[in-house]
Amino acid sequence: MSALAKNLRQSIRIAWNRLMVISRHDVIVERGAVIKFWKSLRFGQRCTIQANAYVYGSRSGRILALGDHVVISTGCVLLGEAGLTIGDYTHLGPGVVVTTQYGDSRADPFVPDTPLRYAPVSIGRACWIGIGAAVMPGAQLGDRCIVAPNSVVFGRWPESSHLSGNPARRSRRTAAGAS
Amino acid sequence: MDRLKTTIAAVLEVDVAAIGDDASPETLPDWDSVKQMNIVLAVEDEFDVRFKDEAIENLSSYALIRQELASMGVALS
Repeated sequence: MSALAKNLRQSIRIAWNRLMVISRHDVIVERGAVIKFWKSLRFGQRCTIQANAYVYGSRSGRILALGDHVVISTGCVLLGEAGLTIGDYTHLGPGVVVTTQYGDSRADPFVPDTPLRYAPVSIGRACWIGIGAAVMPGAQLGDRCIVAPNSVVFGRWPESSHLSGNPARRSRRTAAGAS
Repeated sequence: MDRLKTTIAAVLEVDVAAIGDDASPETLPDWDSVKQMNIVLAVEDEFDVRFKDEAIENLSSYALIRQELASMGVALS
């Protein structure tokens, strides 16, 4: 198949995926957002995927699930191969990357198709993830966590954690119910 | 009970008996770069310490983490 034919087929597939999602779920998918493996996606009510976000579901039967009122801002990348859950009212700022896959650091860099490793990610309800932050494989954020812009989040964090830096660490923890 | 071994084992999701004194990415296939960061953060949480950024990249084995904690005056047992 020629490169032209491959690209045309890909464009049609992406348009089809978008159509399948907006016809089945309560979600606004803005122009330019790319959705792959739509069958693995789940949405609550009134979600938004802004322009030029890239949402890659799972080929292996895992689920990429967004709760109610979740906002995926422009330029976000969600890689959900190992399973990804984002709770109600959570907002991902522009350019946030959430990945469930990564390269094995010990693999030979000169070998093509380096095998990837996978770990699921969960982000709780009412979290704010700042511009450009990365949420790494295996990360688990409790409800109401706040992640500063450009932070890199590893590991498990309890609810209401305020995280910043690389690796992101807790800067303070609000009392339950405090703003 | 070795708290450090227990913490590392919990992150790697292996039995604590699998964490020997020579435990490192070379001896444990599950100990990769992402788990490495998770181990560092879990150890900080467990022992209520904060490693210096420049020290983190050197904490790549049980012995090295133990040595760093000891240098910070942390009681390990």
